[in-house]
Amino acid sequence: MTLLTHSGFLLPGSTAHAGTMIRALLAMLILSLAVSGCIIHASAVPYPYGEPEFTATIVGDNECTPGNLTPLTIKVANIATNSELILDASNPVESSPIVPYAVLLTLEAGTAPVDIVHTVQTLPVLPPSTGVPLTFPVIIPAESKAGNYTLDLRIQYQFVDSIAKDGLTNVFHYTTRDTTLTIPIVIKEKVRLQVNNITTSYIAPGQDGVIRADITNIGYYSGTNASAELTTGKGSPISVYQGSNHIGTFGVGETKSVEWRAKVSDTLDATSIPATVQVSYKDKNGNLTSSQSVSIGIPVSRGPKFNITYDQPVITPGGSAIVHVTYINTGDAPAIGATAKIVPVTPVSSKQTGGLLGDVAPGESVTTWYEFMLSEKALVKPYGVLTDVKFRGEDGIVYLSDPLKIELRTMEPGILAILLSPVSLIVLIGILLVIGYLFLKREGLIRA
Amino acid sequence: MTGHGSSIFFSIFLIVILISISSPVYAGDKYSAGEMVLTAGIGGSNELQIGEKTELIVTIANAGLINMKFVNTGTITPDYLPTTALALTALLDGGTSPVQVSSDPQVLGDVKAGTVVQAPFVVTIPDYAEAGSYQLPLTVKYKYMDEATQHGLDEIQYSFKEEEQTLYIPITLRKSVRLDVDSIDTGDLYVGGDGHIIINVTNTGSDDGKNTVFYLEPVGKGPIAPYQDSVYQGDFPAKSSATLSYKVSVASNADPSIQYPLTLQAVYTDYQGLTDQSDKKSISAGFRPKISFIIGDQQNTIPTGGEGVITVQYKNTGSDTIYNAQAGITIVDPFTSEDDQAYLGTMKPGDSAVAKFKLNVNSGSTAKQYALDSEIRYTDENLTEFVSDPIKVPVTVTDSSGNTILISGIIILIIIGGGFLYLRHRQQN
Repeated sequence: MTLLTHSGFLLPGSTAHAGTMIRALLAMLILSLAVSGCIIHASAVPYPYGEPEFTATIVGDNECTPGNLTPLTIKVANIATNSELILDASNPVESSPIVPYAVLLTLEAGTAPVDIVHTVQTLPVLPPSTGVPLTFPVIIPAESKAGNYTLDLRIQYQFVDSIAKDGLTNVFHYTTRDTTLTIPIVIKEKVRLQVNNITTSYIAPGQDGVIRADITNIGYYSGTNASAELTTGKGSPISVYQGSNHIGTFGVGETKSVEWRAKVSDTLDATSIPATVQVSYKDKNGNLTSSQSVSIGIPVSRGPKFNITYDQPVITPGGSAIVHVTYINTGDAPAIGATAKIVPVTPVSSKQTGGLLGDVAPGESVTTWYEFMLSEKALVKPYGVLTDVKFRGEDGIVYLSDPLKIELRTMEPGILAILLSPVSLIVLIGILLVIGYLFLKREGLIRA
Repeated sequence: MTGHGSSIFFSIFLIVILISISSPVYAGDKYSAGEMVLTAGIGGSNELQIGEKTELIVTIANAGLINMKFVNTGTITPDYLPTTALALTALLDGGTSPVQVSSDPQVLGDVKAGTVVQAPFVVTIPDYAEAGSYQLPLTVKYKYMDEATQHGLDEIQYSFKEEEQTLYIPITLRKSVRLDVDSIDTGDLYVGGDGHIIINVTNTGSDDGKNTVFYLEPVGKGPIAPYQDSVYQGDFPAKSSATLSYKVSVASNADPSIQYPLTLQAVYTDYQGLTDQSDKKSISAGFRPKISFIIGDQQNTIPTGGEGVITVQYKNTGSDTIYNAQAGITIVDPFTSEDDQAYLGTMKPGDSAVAKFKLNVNSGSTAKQYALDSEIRYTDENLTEFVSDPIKVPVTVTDSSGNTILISGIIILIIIGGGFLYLRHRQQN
């Protein structure tokens, strides 16, 4: 005999026979029920009245910050209470109408300018007097307007609203409900930054310089005692040493010009180095808070760069040569108060080792001259004389250009120099001695 | 037994059973009946990033409902409820989405009504995936107790059925910046020097990156050290390209035959004003060996206690022009020098230049061949300075033969004097 099926219906036994067997079976069924004293009938089971009742609230802070993915934890609780208690010792009913089953929870944006990034959550059952925290990831876009909003929490569920007794079976009747709770949230009033017109001066390799920018409050709060801070990452080739700029009250829509100072590594080339700008300010409660940081790029220029041109001199050992050297600023920034310098090394020497170039704008060139002398003992070979340019930067700090070389070509000495060589002198002395001897002999001063 | 007889026997048997289950004198538990209600969702955000490989936690809830309950007390309580999913397995599939699932079916065991289980699935969203909303089919297979048949007073027989059900899980592939590296140029990068890694990169994603910063990072410890590991690009719209230049140094002991791995990643502000980052793109960079030099086979000889000029011919056997080259020798005992540097100037590949050094040899030095270290300092066209590997310059020190100039002079004097005496002797004769 089948007692139970998945669909919940009582089925006949597998050995049932057709025809007359059915009639016999019915008779025997009535007989057996009479013996047992039971009578099959459908009737209502005493069952309390009621249904689930939900409440939902955000756990923790309901203030959300724009520009964030916020995991919003909502505690959903069944706060229904039994309206009556029915005791039936012969047929205790375990279920209750205030217990929701198959609870589907869907968070919807409601009036809030947010993006819900979550699938439906299911609670198989939510007994009364219990709360279940559920986390819904919510994106608050950066441009969301500050204010008070409500999210909609849609709850679909079933509950047993009545029970019928059908013979040996309690048959549960479920009702489906669809309800929506509103959950208040607040999108914070924040100062939000927009950074424009970034300019620099002397932000070049190896230099200290200034970074200037216009910052606008495109948020929905006027911050007081505001400061604009510039920071670079750890290991950045730009180290900010004056990174905070007090801007006072920073009203909504207001634009402030700020500047910071930084030192640039000398290993850098012209590029754009990332940094972040953030404004710290006092909020409506007087607490210090910060805006969301904004990435900017600090343009690094090449700075003053020099190259030289000159007519290559030829010099002999013991001789000298005047060289006119033209210094060209090939960089993208002016060199202020520039002076050129040479570093001659023995056997090359020079009476003057510097020349004033003055202010040299990008693309401009200035010519100066040096007189080089080569020692008599110097070998006949090319010599390279180091030269560089000193110039002033921000705050009068002196910088040095990359080293350059002035090439000196040498040539073999002339006839006089050959005659003055030691061997030549010895030969010359010998010849003079012979000539002298012959002269003295001819004059008779020496006897043959 | 005849058919009629069998009918009677069956009727009697059935009566006995029915009496046994309907009589209140046999105390027992209740039976229940119900239906399975399985739902599935994702724990956490259902937005996935293109290009990422992540573990997706799928939550499966059994919200099975009891429809019937036997209230008769004469029956045996079954071991299983019809609302329990037995031996549940779940298989996540990409379906029509571009998502690739690399997890096998997850065995989750028996899932009773009123419980929630979690199944982790590793999914990969390939580079070529298009942003948008998709449905991932989750196939759940389980058994359930379909029938429980009681035989007598102490036996219950179960009948199970297998069920296969497909649930659909909504996901969203988020708009994002995707990197496609078009080219990498390391043309001015040499062992032991500074240079640039220039990368051309295209945004093949669907989001327009704002405030975009590109980060270059060596993988593990390597010879390439960026002077700047990040470049600010700013706006990086979808389908646009950018040229990024990173100045780096290469260790002097680097092996130029190896390509060294690096990663490139973009951090940007996305379409919702949120800070986001692209996946890391693996790239590699190589560099050229140092410029090499060879010296000619000049024989340089200096006597002990004497001085001399040695000449060394250097040849640029590298593949690039060098500038401001200057050769120097390292002076060690027994040598001294007032002129140990020689300017070579610009040397194209294959060019040779002669350097001259003036050396003195201490008196009493052992006559033998010595080798002095020589190296060349030079710059590339960007004025980055390099130092060549040391090259040995052989110098032979011979036994002292006096001052050669003086000796030469004396010899000349002797010859002149001898000639003079010879002439005088002939005149006297």
